[in-house]
Amino acid sequence: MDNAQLSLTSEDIISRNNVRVTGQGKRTIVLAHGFGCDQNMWRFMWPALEKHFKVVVFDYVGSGKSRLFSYDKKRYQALDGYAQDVIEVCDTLGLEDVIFVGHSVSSIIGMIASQLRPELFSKLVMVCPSPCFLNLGSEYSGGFDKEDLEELINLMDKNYIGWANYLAPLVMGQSHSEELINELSGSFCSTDPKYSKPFAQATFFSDYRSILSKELHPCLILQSANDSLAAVDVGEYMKEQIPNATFEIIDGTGHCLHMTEPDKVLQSMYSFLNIPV
Amino acid sequence: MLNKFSCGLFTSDIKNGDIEYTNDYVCDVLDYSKGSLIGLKLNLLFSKASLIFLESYLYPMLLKEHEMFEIQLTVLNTKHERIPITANVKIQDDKLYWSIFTAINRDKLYQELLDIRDQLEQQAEILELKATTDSLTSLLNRRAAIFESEKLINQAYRTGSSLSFVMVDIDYFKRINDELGHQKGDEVLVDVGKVLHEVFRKTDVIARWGGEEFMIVLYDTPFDDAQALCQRLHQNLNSIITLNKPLTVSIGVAVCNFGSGKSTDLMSVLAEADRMLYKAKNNGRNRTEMTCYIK
Repeated sequence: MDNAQLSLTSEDIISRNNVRVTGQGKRTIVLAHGFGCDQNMWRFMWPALEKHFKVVVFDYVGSGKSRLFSYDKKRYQALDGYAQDVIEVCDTLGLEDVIFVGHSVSSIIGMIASQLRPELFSKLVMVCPSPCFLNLGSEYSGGFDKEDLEELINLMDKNYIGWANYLAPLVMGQSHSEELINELSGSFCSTDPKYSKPFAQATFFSDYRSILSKELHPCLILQSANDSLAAVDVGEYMKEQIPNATFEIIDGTGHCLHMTEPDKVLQSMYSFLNIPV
Repeated sequence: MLNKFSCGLFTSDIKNGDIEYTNDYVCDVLDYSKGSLIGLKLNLLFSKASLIFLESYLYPMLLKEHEMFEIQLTVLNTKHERIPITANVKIQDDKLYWSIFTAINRDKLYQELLDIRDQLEQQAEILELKATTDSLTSLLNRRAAIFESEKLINQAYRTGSSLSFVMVDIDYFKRINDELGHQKGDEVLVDVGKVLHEVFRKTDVIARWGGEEFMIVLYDTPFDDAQALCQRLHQNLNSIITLNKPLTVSIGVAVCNFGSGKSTDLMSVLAEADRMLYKAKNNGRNRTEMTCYIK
């Protein structure tokens, strides 16, 4: 049964996804965090964006300070479930024509949402995106083999502090009580296996290349010059597949350009969105 | 002096990823000649899974918290062999300060713990299934049905929606058992369970209440919709032929509008649905009797 999501009021969704709205602009920008951490990833960018836009940030269910008792194993086993979170947040706030900015896997989540509900979105900005992290023979090189990603799941387990909370209910033969699962460890990046493993699986074992060519909104693809997760080649591949895409390489290192190079990311976004600097 | 410590010390630049300093321990563990790591990219040292971990957890955390402790990662030596390590990392002025220890034994211990956890998880899943499911029909059992129904009632109070409580009893089931044997009786119960799954929805509570009696709570379903669903149930059950006749059931339904502000509890509503069921039986069976318990 999946009643957890069906009877949610607007207030429920705001608190379920820990939605935060700031800024005064006429246009709305939605910032969606990627796998691993939460909305705080955007902290270096949102003060600047608030001057131009109404800024919406949120946590996917299972991340950050989302309401964990809304977590539904089935819903969040594929990226479509996370896309549903995006759609419900937009609907709840009565948003239309939003500029969606997604980091990493959220770029794909945004794309799924924008194809399900095109009217909600006007443009997509993708920071270090990849439609598929897997190497698939000679036709596509996502950068990782299945074994690498299995090792990742194992590594996440080994870095999880909170075993007692996790194991106790199993030993006691009861499901997680609400108090126990109400909050993640408190840090903004959590490896709690109950939530992060399905997200990792949905992120790293999926192949969403087929939706690229169906994306009709204008897209800005920002790739890092040196990113071990999403290579420049992957960005170029996306540019070729998406009908209306602008592709830029940001001179930076790593997968978190919005944290390490926020000014460069902002500049590219402003030019794509025709915002005078 | 730093070369005498049995722990690895090195620094790297977060902006360009270059290794800027290592002590000898790092080179020994990774099988590099002394000093040869300097100027190389940090990414070369880590397994691909570790790189994802660094990018998804470690760097964002460092940029926010500035220091991380006891992170378990996997490094690669020159022969590409994997070596588990534990790392403490600090960031200052775009420089990462790493101190690492090999963690081969600790890693084995973790792996044992993980294997035990996986076993426990599997056992817990099996136990939960057994504790909540009727073994014959695979529907919810009575205990699980009460638990799930109470959850639905609480939700319905919050959202002001309607729930319909349905009791279904197979007509003349005793005859099936007496004339065709208990095995055939069990088969009929299984078939009825399948039809219940066909007719009702994923969001409904569908349970074997006991014997030949079934209980269903229809989610967000007012009077007319419940009536239509019960009608469909009568029709679909007719496809089960037993004792040379289509199978029939009697149904009692109590509909509650939880937006009315009036309060009730599960057992009182079910008693009302049961009363309707007996009315259906007394009125000749193979029919549904309904009441609006809370308008």
